[in-house]
Amino acid sequence: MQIKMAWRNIWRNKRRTIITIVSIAFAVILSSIMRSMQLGSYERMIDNSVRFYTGYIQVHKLGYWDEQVLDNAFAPPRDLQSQIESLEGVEAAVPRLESFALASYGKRTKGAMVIGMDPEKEAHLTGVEQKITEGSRVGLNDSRVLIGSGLADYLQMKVGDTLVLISQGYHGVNAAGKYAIAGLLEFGLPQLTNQVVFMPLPAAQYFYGAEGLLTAMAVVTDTPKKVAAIQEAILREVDTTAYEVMGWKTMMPELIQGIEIDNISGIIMLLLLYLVIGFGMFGTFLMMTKERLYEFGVMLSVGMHRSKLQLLIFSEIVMLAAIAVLTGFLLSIPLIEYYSRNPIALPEEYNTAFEKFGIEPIYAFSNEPIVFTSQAWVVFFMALVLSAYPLYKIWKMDPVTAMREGR
Amino acid sequence: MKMMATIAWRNVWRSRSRSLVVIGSIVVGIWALIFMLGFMNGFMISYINGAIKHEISHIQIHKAEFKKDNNIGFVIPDGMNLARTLALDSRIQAVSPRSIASGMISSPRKSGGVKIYGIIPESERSVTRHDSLITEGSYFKSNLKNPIVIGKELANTLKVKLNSKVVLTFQDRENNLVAGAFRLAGMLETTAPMINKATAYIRMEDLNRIAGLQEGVHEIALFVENPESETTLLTDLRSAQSGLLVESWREIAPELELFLSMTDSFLWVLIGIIMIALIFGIINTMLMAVLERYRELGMLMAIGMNKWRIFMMIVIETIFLSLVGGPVGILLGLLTMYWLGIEGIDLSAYSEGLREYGYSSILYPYIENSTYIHVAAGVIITALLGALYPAYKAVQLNPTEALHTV
Repeated sequence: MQIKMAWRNIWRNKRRTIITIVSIAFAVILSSIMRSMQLGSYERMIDNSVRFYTGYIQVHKLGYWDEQVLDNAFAPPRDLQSQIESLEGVEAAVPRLESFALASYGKRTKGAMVIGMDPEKEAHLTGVEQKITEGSRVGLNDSRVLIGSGLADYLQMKVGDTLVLISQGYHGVNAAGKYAIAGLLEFGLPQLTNQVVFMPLPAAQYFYGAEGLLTAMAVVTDTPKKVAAIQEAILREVDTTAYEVMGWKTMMPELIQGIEIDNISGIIMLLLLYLVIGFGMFGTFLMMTKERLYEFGVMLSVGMHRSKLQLLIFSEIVMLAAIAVLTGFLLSIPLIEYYSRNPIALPEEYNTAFEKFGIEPIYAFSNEPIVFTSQAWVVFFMALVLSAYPLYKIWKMDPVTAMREGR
Repeated sequence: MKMMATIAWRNVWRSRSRSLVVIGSIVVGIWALIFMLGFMNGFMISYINGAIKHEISHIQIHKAEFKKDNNIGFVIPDGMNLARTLALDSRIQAVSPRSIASGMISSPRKSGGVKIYGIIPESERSVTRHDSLITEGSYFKSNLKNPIVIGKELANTLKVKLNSKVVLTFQDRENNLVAGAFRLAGMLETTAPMINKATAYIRMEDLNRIAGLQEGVHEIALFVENPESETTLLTDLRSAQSGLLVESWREIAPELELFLSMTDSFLWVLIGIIMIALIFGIINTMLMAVLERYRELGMLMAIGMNKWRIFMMIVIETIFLSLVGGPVGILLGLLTMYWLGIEGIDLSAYSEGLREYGYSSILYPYIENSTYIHVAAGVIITALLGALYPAYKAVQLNPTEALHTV
């Protein structure tokens, strides 16, 4: 009977109910939007730094990550690449041989990072071919190289000039070579643009005297969500006494920490929003209680037990909150889904700074399910906590004055 | 109008709890916005100050060509004398002349690219205060021959300890590759990844001797006495040193600008969301308040108060509520900011990551005085907008029907 009465009470005063529902539903939508934008900006940060350089997962020789030297390169088992690529959710396995070299042209010399890569595979990770601003792409068996435009500017080189590289190769052999520049590259990260040399893998292996060796096999996944599962699967495939399989979280702890810091401020902002929302909700609850003082007084004077009345009001609030939260939840899904696909552009004034770093100047929205569910729960519980006010009011109420005041 | 105001004022206090809720929302709204702005400001300031203090300084002077092309030949003409003259300027707190080479640092285990700074430790210390950031060893105090100070992270990558030998290779003035052996005298840990990972500091006399530079310097870093005098100093320097490139930290470190843009652009969204939440809270409460007062409003209309006056009455009520809530909110925000400005917010639990991103671990929220007024004005306008719809609803009443409703 309680439930039935509560249900009828809700719809007895439609206007009041609708106002309350709107205020709660709106709270869910607003906090979902805020959280979605925060998480979205983190996803963008991760994508910018991980997806375009290290990849979400890398396989190395055991110990390479702690000591990133050429001597820790490994000879991949013949089927490693195909094995990883056959896993579900893997877009590509990208082989790399990375080390440092001095690049010189004419009278100028500069430290450079040499990345030996398979151009076809690399397209899945750094998308190196789309970064070419001048010149042409290179093939796997080419002995020409692509270099960052910053490095080229420093060395005062043009496409077609010949770059001299000097370094120490595998197990200390001398490495030296001459390479024609096939094209210039421009990356969002200035560190890359200013020091990177992309060389086809066989040429790099020859240069470093590291025939058939790799320093890393980077794994590109369809979506970041599958990373953990894929990492597990690779761990099962490879010999863990000889190889290490690392996720981006281990490889880029600074990024994780950076996000955590930002998240502190994010959580504080969210709490402030809850405070404001809570006050709005409290306002509606308070008005609701005031409006119904007369009714409560009558109920009590005709002999309803206080605890029964409290239970009745509590079930009303639970129902109201449930309906409202669900409404908010259902409305926020398409809204956020829409904006995560069609992100809002940032105001013009910010564009230059973002573009300089190759970051898309947009407000990114995250459509992770956790965004919606967490906010729905938080607001629901907030409504329940705030229901303490009417319950307390009923407990303290004197029926006679209540009926007089409420009139 | 005076009567309207009296009625509205009495109405406000006739239903105390309802008024308090609206006042409360306004107070909370103002406080939340002030806190948010103060917190974000503190975040930005601590980041930027860290970068200025230990990394880029306020102003740097180079020969214009050097910026484009870090060739060791592009020294500032008569640089040491310029540095000495600048040190006499009262607006400048500290001056550090540096010679710079880019090259390679090698240990027996590994090598990597570095930017090599030749510094005069006494001057450099007063500009970047790196001596306070030494984690192991000392800042050029030992008697080692050819001392070098590098970031702890770089030392770890190179697998070197104090007193270990490292070799620096770079181009000299004649573009020959030259090398020198140095002993690790100290390791430092700064807020700047660049310094921690890829920078080496040696004595200027050592660098200049190996590179054949004599007294040549490439960079003069200035730490300004008072940040407000920075712009005037900058214009003065630019006109006095026309052949040189004089840049402020804003031009030197565009990533600071990116960071500012990122935080700033997000801040507006946050403010917007909180304002919308606030306006909804107020609309809902006021709407319920109006609907609750059907009988009363119906009565007023029945005895001849016209619609415009009813509308104005509700708007004036909201103005009164804002006028009470506004100052209280500002006061509360002011007190919170004042208290936190002294105490700071301790984020040291996250300090490892904080440092990586250039923050110090205690955050001091800060807000400009004008912001208080802007926030209060914004919230009060929001409150008024929130009152318009309920007031409109009230005007829509039909007096007879209203009198009949319970």
